[in-house]
Order: sequence, then structure tokens, then C-alpha cells
Amino acid sequence: MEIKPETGKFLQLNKKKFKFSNHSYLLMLLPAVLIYVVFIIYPLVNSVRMSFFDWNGVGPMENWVGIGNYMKFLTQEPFSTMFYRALVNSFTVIVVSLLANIIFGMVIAYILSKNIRFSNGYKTLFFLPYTLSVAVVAFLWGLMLNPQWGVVNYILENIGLESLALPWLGSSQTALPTIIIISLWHSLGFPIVLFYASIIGIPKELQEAAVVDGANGFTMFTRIVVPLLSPIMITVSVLTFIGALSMFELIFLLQGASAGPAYATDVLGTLFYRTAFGGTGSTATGMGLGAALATIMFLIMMPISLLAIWFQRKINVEF
Amino acid sequence: MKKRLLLVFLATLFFASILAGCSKDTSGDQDVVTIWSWRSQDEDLWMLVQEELNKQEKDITIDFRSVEATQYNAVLQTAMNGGEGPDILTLRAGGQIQDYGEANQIEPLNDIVSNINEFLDGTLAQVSSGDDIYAVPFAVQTSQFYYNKKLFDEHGLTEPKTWDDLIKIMETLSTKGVTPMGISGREGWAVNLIIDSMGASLLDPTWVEGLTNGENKYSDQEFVDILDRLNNIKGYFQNGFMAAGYTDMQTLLMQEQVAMIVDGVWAESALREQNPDVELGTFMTPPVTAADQPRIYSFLDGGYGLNANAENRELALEVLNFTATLDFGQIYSDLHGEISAFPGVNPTNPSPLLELAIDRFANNSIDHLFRIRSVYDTGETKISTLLEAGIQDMLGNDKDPQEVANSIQKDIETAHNFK
Repeated sequence: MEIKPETGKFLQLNKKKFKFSNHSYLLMLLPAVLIYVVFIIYPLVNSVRMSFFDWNGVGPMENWVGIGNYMKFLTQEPFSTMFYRALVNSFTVIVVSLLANIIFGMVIAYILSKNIRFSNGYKTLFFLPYTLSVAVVAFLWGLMLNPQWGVVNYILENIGLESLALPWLGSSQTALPTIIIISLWHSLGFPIVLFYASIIGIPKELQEAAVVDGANGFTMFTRIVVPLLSPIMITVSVLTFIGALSMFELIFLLQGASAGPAYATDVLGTLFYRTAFGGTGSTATGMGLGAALATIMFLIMMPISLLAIWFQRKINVEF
Repeated sequence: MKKRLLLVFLATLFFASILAGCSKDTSGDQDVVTIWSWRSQDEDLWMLVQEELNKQEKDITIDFRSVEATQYNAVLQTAMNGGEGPDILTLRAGGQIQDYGEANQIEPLNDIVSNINEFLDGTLAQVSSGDDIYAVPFAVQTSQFYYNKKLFDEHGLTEPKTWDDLIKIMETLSTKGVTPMGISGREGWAVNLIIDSMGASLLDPTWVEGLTNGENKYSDQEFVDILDRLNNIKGYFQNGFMAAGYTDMQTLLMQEQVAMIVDGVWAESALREQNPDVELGTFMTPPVTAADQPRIYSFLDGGYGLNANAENRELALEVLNFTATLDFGQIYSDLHGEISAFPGVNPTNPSPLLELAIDRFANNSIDHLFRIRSVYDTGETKISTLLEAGIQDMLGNDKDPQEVANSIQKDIETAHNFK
């Protein structure tokens, strides 16, 4: 029995009878498609539908407002201030995460690929934080950064750097950078692993040829390794972008839904949660509004992801 | 043959595990009443209620579930919208009860809970929408200063009679190397409690009444004065106070690293658990002059509502009717050391602090709420959210109190009407 997934051809009703046995792949795809539709497509469509209503989440959803919710976030105080501030904060997180994940990811992966001493130990150390759940990471760092009893300030004070023993998570200037650093500590292991896997996949002949042509370590890295890693760089970029744009749990656990102090750590994820489900002890603002924000985030993510995938196909690398 | 057997076995396992998710829960059971709350400490309460009801020959089993306070609203909402909500819902007074009531997700209790009118009018107003009473009130909460009696005695200090006295106390402690006060800068909702406590004594009640009518504004000098006073004592807070959390603040007090904190009456048992050896006292924020009376911010915490689609409506009603009695108030107050909303409850073995709190609730309560559970603490833009961010801005970023107040007023006006 041949399986011919000739796209489009199974819709031809004139010449051949549609023989199901020739297209058994449809049946095999069905469970996955079903699960995808039920758990991904349906909630997405429902969410977009919800964004056109003014609904506080309790009782029936009846008040149609069209794009009213979207206009609130784009133009109406105080929602617009919150939205643009969250957008800027999200953007900061994205840019820093991208740069750190790509640059540090590649450099560290390259060094690890050189089989230095204890490289296995280092690989484990770098990847270990990634195995921890976000809740554990938030709890640990919350303890370490505690202004009274935290180990970070304790060490800083004891090595003579008292001026740096700041209230890290309590200052509007340092809160977001601190959150970003914690997030990178948690997730850097993943790009390192991806880059490492790619680097060791580069054929030795290429590297040897480069050495013969007089390449030193730096040139090797910048002219050989980096270009060959372009596809994986795109993958890491897209994953980092999506992860950074939807960052929520870490900030929620450390700073609460209000993403303080004074909204310094407010990103689109926390703004969404606060809008849809309310902050501490207060009642919800609006599910419709929240859905609108979530849809806006989707509209930001989707084109960029598609663009990245298209770009990745274009710069297909073959050894 | 073996492969096919294996395939069939795996397929069966797969489908069986899917069906496992469809198992029936106990809420359909005959005698089980499900109750949800954000208060994990209520587990013991409902056990005692069940015992009491069983003694009265009522064969009821209560299945209690608590959800973390910050996630309770979301979890409850999702469940109620999916028809999977509990028979009895613990709801926060004010906006939340109104929302559920107006959406007809909970039933009006006027005619089905016999003692509902025993509660005070002011209390019932916080669980009603129009004339419909939607929940049985359970506890009144207050916010006040807690202080370490030993530290005060050591330095010859007594409870302040005026605001200036309080400043002098803080100054004395500070010069003697004791951190006067601990606050929780990172958790804005806890700093809001300080404003509640201060505003209760320091704001003119007539002005507050005008605020609730929309005649006065948060940007008026009277309110800015409160923010100012808080701003002026920030030098007496602990190091790194902007990054301290709510439990950090409580720990500081109970580890005797600060002399005072502002916290709710609900905190007494948690504080004692941390360190029973510390002798605690409480005082209301002292007024401006000794001639004025101090006042206390007391608000209804919440109430118990009846799910309009309750699985076990009759039994749930039995439970609800019990919660509107003196006996329940007695059980509640004795167990939690909190002020029961039911009038006339005298706890059996009250701690001295609880006795003080009950007395103050009865005699020194403010008449009009201006922050938590007030008319401005509902809807799309709430005073609580605006205030906590504003205070963090003021204390952490040195923003001017008048600017903070102006910004709060501007934002609150987008959702509430002022004259």
C-alpha cells in the first residue's frame, strides 16, 4: 500500500475516486489535529471573540463593543499608559534576552565544544537551572535577594561593596534588570545546548581547512562557526522572542500581579493577568479587555515568528 | 501477532487514561456541601460547623477547598462560568459580591436565610446590591499599629496620644539604635493598610463623607496631607524597605528587629505563631491633637453566598442559615480570634488584643470607607490599585505626594463619577 501525500490532489473528484486507503495518513493525523483544534484553535478563536465584548468575567457575555477594548489600550487613559509602559518593558526584556541568549549562548557553547577540562561538569552546571521550575527559581531568588536576610547583599556587604547592597527587587531602577538576570540564569542553558549540538555537528574538515588557510581562534569563530549557526540562531531568536514577550510567572511570583514597584516590572504578560483576573484581593477588571490584550500580543508574535521562519528557509545551510 | 496485541493494549491504555479524566467528583454526592474560600485557615472552621450540624441531627458533610488568595478570583470565576462552582462561595465584600449578584450567579438571601436582618445595616450594605442581600457576612477586619511592648518599656515609651507623639517615639527609638517601623514596600496592598489606619484618625470624617459623595477628591489637601505624613516617616523604616514583603515585615516585628508595624487584626494569630514570646500591643493611629478621638478603619472582609446553580441547594441553605447565627459567630471568633460580623458575639477566651479590637470596632469605627471596600474600590479602575502604585512611586522614586494624589484622582475619574 503506497502512501502518496500529494497535496491538493485528494480534492480531485473528476478522474479518480477518492480511495480512502490511499490517504490513510489523514486518519493517522486525525487524533493530533483533533487535540490541536480542541486545545489550541478553539480557545484562540474564543478568546478573539471574547475581546469584542465588554465582560467582567462573571455571568453571561452580552455587551458587544466591537474594537472598543482595543481602542482602550491604544488610546484611552489610564489603560494606554499601562499598555505602552508594559510594551516598552517587554521590549527591553526581549532585546536583552535576545542579545544575551545569542551572544553568551554561542560563545559559551563554542568554548564548551573545545573539550576543555571539566567541560562535562560545566555543561551540567549551565543546564541545571533550566531543569528547575519557575516557581522554585522565584522562591530561591526571592530569598537570596531579601534586603534583610538575603545572601546576595550579605556577600556584597562583607566584601566591602555595601554601596551595591541595594533593595534589588524594590527599586524602580533595578527591579526589571534583576528580573531579566534571574530569567537568563534560569534559561541560558537551553540556547547553550542548542548551539553546542549545532557546533559539534560542523564537520571537522571545514575547521581543519580553515586552520590550513591560517585562521586563528577568533577568525574561526566569527567566519566559520557563526555563519554556520545562522539557522539555529534564528530558532533560538524566535523561541527567546516568544518566551520573553510572554514572560509572566517570574514577575508574578516575585512582584505580584501589580508588577511593582510602581509598575516598574510590568510587562504585557502581567498587565494581561491583572486586567483579566485582577490584582491582590481586588475584583477583576475585565475578561474582554484581557482577551483584547492577549490578541494584541498574538498579533505582535505571529508575523515576527512567520517572518523568522521564512528567513530561516532562505538562509538554509548545508555542509 | 504479538505486535498487534501490544498495539491493542497500548490503544486501550490510551483511551482508558483519557476517560480517567472524566471521573465523577464528590460534589454530586447526596450529603456533601462544597465550600470554597481564599482563607486556608477556614478548614478548621468548617469542620467545627459540620460537627455542630451533625449534633443537631443534620446529616451534612462539608467539603472545603481553599485557593491561594491571589488566584482565588480567577479560579472561582472560571469554575462558576463552567458550571463547576461550589455550593457556597466565600466572596469578598463590595464589588465582588455585587458582580456575582448582578450576574445572577448567586441567589438573594433576603427570604431564605432567616436571621439575615440581625446584622447591622452598615454591614449588610457591603454584601448587597440594591435591596438584594447576596451574602452572609462573616468577619470584620481592622488595621492598626502592632508594637513590641518590651522595646517600648525599655526606652520608657508609652502609646502615642497624638501624631507628634508618634514621631517622637520613632525618633527616640532611632537614636537608641532600634529600627522604629517595618513596612512591606514590595507588596503594595500591605502599604495601603497604613494609609487606611492613618486616614481613619487623621482625616476629618465630614471630608471623608464628601469624598464618598464625589464632592471631595483624592487630590484635595486633606488626602495629600496623609500621603505627606507617610512620606515624612520613611526615614524610620527598615533598610531596603522597598524590597521587603508582607511576611518579611511580620518576621521583622516578631524577631524584634523593628518596634512597630501596621497590620490587620487577622494577623494576630500568625504573628504569635512566629514567636509567642514577644509581647504585643496595639494602638490606633493617634489623631492630630489630644482632644480628637482616634478612629479605626474597619471593613467587612466578606460573606458566604449561595450558588444559584448549587448541586445541593437544600443542604447548602441549612449551612448558610447556621452561619447567620450567634453560635456560628461564636465558633468563628473563638477559632480565629477575629471580630465576628454577627452583632453581640463575645469570644470565650479572647486575647487582650482581640478584646481591644472588638471594643474599637464597636466604639471607634469610621462611618465612611475611603479605600478598601469603599465605593471607589470596584470597577475597571480601583483606588486600591492606584494607591499602591502611587505610594511605591512616592516612597521609592521620591515622587511628590501632591503629584501622586493628582495622578490617582485623574485615573479614578475615568471610572467613577465625581462632582
